Amino acid sequence: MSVLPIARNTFRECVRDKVLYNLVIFAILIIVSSLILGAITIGDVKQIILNLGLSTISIFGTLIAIFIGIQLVYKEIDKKTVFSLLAKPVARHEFILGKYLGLSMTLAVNVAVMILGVYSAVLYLRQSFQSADIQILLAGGLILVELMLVIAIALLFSTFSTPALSALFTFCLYVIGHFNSDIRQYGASSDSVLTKVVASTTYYLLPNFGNFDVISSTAHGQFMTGGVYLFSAMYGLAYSTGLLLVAMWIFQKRDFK
Amino acid sequence: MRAVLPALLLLSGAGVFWTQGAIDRRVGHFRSTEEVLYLPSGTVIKALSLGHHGLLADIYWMRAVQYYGGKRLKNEKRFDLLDPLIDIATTLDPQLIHAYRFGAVFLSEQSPVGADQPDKALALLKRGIARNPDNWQLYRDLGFVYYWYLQDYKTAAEAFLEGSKHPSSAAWMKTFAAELLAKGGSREAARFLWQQFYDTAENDQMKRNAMENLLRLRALDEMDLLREFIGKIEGRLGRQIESISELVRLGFLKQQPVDPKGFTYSYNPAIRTVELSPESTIRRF
Amino acid sequence: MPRAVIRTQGLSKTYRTGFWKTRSVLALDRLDLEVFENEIFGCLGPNGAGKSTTLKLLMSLIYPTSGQAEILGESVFNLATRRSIGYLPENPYFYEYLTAEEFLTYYGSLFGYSKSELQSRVPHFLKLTDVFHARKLQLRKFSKGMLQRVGIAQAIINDPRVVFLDEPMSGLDPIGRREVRDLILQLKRDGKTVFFSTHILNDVETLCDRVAILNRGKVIGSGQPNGLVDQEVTHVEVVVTGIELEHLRQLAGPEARVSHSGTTSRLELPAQAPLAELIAGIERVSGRIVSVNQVRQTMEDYFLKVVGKPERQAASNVRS
Repeated sequence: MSVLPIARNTFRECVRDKVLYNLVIFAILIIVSSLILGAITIGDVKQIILNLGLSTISIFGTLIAIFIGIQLVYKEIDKKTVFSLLAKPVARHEFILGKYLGLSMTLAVNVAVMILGVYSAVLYLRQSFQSADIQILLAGGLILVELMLVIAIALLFSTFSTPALSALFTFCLYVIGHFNSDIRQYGASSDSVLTKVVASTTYYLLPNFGNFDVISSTAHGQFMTGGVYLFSAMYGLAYSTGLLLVAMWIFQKRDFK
Repeated sequence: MRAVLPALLLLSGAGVFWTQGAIDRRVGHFRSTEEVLYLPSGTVIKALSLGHHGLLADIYWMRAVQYYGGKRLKNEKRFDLLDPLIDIATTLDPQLIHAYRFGAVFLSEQSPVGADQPDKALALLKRGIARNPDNWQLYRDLGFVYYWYLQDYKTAAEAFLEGSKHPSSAAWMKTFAAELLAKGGSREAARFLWQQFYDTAENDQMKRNAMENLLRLRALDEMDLLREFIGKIEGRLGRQIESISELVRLGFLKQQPVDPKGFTYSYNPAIRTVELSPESTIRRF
Repeated sequence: MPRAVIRTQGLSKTYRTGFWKTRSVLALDRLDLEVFENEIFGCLGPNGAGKSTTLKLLMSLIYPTSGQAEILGESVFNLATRRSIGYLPENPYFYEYLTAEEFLTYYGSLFGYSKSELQSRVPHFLKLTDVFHARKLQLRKFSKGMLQRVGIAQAIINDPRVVFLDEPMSGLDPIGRREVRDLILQLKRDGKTVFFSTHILNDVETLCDRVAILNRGKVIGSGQPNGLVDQEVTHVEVVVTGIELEHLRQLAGPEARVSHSGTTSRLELPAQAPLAELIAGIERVSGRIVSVNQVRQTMEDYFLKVVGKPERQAASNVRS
């Protein structure tokens, strides 16, 4: 299997990409500034740290996922590195999987570092951990699954589209995906059978990013049942798998002129 | 690869469908509205909307409507999120007039039709008036909530009078204010108001609602008339009447009188009142 | 008959272009090719002749519209065959953020080599292609010649039996070309088969055992470089000094063409012209013979004739 070397190299490429550092540093700054914000506000300081920290992880993770994700395959084709690579004993689907796992690994490290930052902020604030703080870790895990879904979307588009268009499509799907449950509700309260069918088809077809909205409930200490975390993560992985399969299919059929 | 790919694709599709179902069963269908509980206020959302608060206001208003509609459909009695949703929508877009107007009705109506929170409706309309002082219709709605749901005729009349000061306001506002002050919760006042609503209704829904109320008022008049008539007959016969059909049998009436929707009235001799038939579709509250 | 290492049968490729993919361009037209073991095979042709298309079809980077291609007796789509081949793309671009060493280690790991094996293989091939001194340098800092050498190193990292090189000498300075040429000959000595494309005639003449000439997607000539060229002597060239031009014209007769520069004169005579008399005549008037050469048709003449570019032919006429 050549998946692992490709993933490792993609990871190395991301790490050597300076854009990534800018984003990570900015994100760390925001987490630190949440401590300062916490000092000048009234009320639950932990809530502010969690809101700001987790949102930062999610927003910057999404930016990285989109802007590196759309380049993953496109850059290799554009810079013609794919020619020499695919002449090696590398199946095209292994290439796609390797690129995907490489960026996922990068984001996993990012999320882990930033979650560590959030934990340190909480520790600094309270001088101790509570058992409920495990939620922060679970929320981080779910955010990572969400980011992996974004990567899969970006990667799919990048197998047949230019980076600018891919970024646009990915962003649109990301935004629409956050309003997906509204579509479902609209269908549920409609009398028309056609509307119901169209709405629920759309609901299952489009990625439902609402499944990964864990930030405010975590900040408010509302513990979702373990099943919700588990199924949400499984949902993200199943959806990403589907997107990857389509990406592999498109990539397999491509000519590299 | 050729055969494996569609199979795997189908499998992952099934996975998506199944897990989404599992999540929905656990967190319910109102996940996107439920989150309102965690959002501090519309002001915060406005700051986060990066200038697109008009669009967000529409989305939150839509969520409010869907929430209300969804709860109504399931006949649930609690509408806890209605007020926060409307509040966020109107904070995001203070000129969202229909959100104030329909929102006030959703909030005021008694359970299970509405949230049974007329005080919240009053607060909402007052916020709307403060933000849109030139809109006379908000005064009319404010007066209506005082008059119809709270039976506070004096304050209601003040609201109608205040609204009537606007040059573009409907002429009947002033007349109705006077009517209210003179006759309070009388049926004439109600009939007058609903007739105005019927004549000036902006959509079919509102027109139908006004018509229902007018029919109810007519039924109330007819029931009063019938009881009065029964009283007179009893006086003449010197005994109690047991039912309306007895009146027909005795030749005092040509046929069973029916309400505006065509259902016969019934008479309860125990408490000596004329009532709507249990099957009647005349509005009762 | 040695056995064919590369074989194509009726291999064709049509590209669909334009926004609606309606226009089609025939890039390769029914290519039949056989390359035998331990041969250096050249694929010659002007730009856009279909050389890169042929190579990409052999690497299954593009799919043929019709026809078949085999390497080592297996379909080109067989992933296992890739273990025994190497490929250098045209104008190679590699991961510019990697050092030469990291790059080769990465590509080596795609063959599943162990860490210790890579530790011996990578320096070996870096030395072989003479980029060992720059192994810690990021590829973005490499010159074109050095990139080409790294490209060759990645193509042979797996000790392939067949090596495919797309324009391996383009853009290199004379020394760089010399080095690449030596490397290709070294590969042949190691028993490998080399298939390369070029638009430079000299490469083919000096390197190839056999050659195919492509133009507009079609093979228009193939065989041994010498066999392709008419071996007959076209004319005889005599270079002389220390003799008056007028004298020379008289001696050479009307069939000769005479040109003059400085103190040397150049005579072009028909192939069958009697030389003994001429030489004796020149020596009589104490002129000195510098050289006498039989001139054969060159690969270039042949190439230009078959490719048939009128403006180029005109240019070559002027020169001769």
